[in-house]
Amino acid sequence: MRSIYITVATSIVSAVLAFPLLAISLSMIAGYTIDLKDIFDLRNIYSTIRIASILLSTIFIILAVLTINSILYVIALISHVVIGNYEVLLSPIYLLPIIFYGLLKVLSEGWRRDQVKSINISISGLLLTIVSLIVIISSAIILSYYIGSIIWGYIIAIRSINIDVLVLRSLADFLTINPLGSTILVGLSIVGFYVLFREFTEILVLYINPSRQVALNALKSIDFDVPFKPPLSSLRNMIISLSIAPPFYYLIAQTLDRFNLMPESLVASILFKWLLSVLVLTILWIIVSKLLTRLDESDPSLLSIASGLILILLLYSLVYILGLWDPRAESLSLENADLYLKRVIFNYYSTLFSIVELILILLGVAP
Amino acid sequence: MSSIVSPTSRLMALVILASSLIALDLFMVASTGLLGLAIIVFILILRVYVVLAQTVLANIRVITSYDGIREGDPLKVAYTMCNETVVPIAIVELSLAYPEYLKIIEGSPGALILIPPRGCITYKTVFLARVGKHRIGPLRAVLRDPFGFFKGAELKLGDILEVSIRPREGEVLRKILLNIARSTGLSKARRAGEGSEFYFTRDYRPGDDLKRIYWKALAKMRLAVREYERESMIYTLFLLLIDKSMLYGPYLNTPLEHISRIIAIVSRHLAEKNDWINSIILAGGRLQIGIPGRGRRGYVNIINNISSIDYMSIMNDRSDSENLKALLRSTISTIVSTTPRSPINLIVIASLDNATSVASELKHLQYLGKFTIHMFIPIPHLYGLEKISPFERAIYRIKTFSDTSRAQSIVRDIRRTGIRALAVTPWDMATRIIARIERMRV
Repeated sequence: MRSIYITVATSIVSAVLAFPLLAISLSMIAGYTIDLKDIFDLRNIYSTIRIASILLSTIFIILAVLTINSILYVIALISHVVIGNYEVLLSPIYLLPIIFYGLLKVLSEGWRRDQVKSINISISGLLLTIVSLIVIISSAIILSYYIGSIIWGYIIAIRSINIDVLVLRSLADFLTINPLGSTILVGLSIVGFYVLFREFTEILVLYINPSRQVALNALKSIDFDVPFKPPLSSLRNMIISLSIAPPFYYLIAQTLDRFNLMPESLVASILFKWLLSVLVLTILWIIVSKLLTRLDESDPSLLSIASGLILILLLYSLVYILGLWDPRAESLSLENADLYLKRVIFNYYSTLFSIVELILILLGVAP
Repeated sequence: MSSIVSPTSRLMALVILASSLIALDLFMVASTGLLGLAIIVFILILRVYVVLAQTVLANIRVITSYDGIREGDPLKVAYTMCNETVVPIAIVELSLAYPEYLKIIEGSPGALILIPPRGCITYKTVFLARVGKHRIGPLRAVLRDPFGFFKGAELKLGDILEVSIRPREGEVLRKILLNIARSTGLSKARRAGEGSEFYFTRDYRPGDDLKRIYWKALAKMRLAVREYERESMIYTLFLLLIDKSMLYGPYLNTPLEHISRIIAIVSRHLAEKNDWINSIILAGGRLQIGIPGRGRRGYVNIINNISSIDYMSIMNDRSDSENLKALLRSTISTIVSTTPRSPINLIVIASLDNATSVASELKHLQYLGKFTIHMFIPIPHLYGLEKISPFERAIYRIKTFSDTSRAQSIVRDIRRTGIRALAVTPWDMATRIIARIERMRV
């Protein structure tokens, strides 16, 4: 049973923590003279958005205080950013509630009414734990700032990279200058870093301090119905996909061209071709993997058969659309087929490898 | 790997904030990218701490203990967790697995704790002990970081404690029983025979044991021997048939608890008279066969058998009437094969629901000649009436008159089979049992 005292205390603390942001919101509301006629006037759309954002922020702060919910508090903060009040994101007084709301929520949900009578811990032990936790968290904050600044420096270096190769410049500019491209680049880098660091630290911690129960928990969480997958099957599927991707890519590109769906400008067409080549390879990889799963794992599901059928139907449709194959024709022209195929494969791989080259340059692996 | 710790919904707030800060910088609105990235690194460092603390918590040394073995006493259960590493463990959400039929009288069923580095913490809780065998524990522990962003997989700390609680014998009831019984101490038959109490002296007859010669009389030139009073020894076997209906009622005053106390006090009374006593308990589809014993040993065996009654198996018992019949047949064959040839008082206590089927199986025992069966059927709706006022009690009795009539009718049917059945109230059960046993004493 929850303790009423702890619930009241956490509610008071949450209100105190949210007070600065609430005070800003209320002062902003007080500064406005709202005229309903102006709100619905589209010429004053910015003013309307501003008022709506402040009102929204105030509502979310009140809800955050009542429910001790950090997500609602963050939404309230972002509402302030919408109206150009960026300083709320840089001042600790506005950011600390996000962290402390977590602590308050843990306390309010986990603290039992008579738990003080159930716990026996020495004062020195309690103090030692609290002090060591403060040290750990403080060190984590300082360390995260320094590690963050190193990574941010690396991101800035990536964004300021200058590529002379004409073919790569368009994509490089998209990734470094365009905010959307930069977001994709930085997002992928951070996710990659996060996943690698998480896996590495977990392995390291388990190696240093092995635990039978933790290992059993990890093993039990795995679905036991998953069939055995041969090693390196993903790599094999990728090689097969790479070998069959060029004709598909060529046929799709030709089809899009026939329907005038290809971008007209040079930069856009290059970017589109790169995107298309990656997309074709990814989709083929998935289809080939599903198809071969039936052979590898004796998977009786219809998905693998369906994926094979999709592949055949796709090939047939593309060839038919392009008029390369006419079922009514008596024979298929094979004139210069080798040269034709060579050109198709060369075009595809040169597009694909230029992407790989760019990634290596951006990561600082290749000059 | 990801099953070691998992993110909570609270982490979403921090991720949204960090993403917003980075996006604002990339869109050249504000220089907040570094802060956003620092928050992500902070999340990662926090995660490393939680993984480390989780492995430390999984390897923690846990000492379990309990104190209290008698019904009605505080049953103190303690788990001492000792962290031998330098890593502080915070925050751990503990919850104790315990049977729902046990009442906590001090402390809480869970707690939020911090485990100090190179230190110990004790979690204890106090139950109000009730008769039978109970399984308490283990402690379920879920680790969270101090801000609740990550949550570890649930760990089980400590062992499951198997606690056996003995019935409490009321002193008042014991004195009443002593008054009802013919005498205190060993029962005497008022006849000469084998025994330990001096009865009288008589003249020596050829064939008398030399050990019995009364030497003081020989000094007066009279050859006499001592005669001892023959001890009246009886064999009493308690057959207790427990079903779910015996578990319902006020805490510490359910039919099962009341019957346990009655059997304990009656067996103690018989033990003081040096009688042979034994018990067989059929509970939760399981047969608990006691060890027959005389005097104190027999009493201890009966108490141990009662304190082994497993509540959980009774509650989870899904056996039907056919299973009960099969078990009863097995019980009867056990009784026949394990009891001596001398006359036996078989004290059967069964619930109202099972009484008829029990009687129909047990009646065959009477044909063997050595068994005198006394069947006692507690009237369940009369339990716990001590807690209410006399007026309310009278009203309640009127309202439950039909149930009492039903009990009486079942008893009449059983009596027709030749078994001496009796519907008993909580107040007269002990005296009725003792009266029946004493009547059988030779």
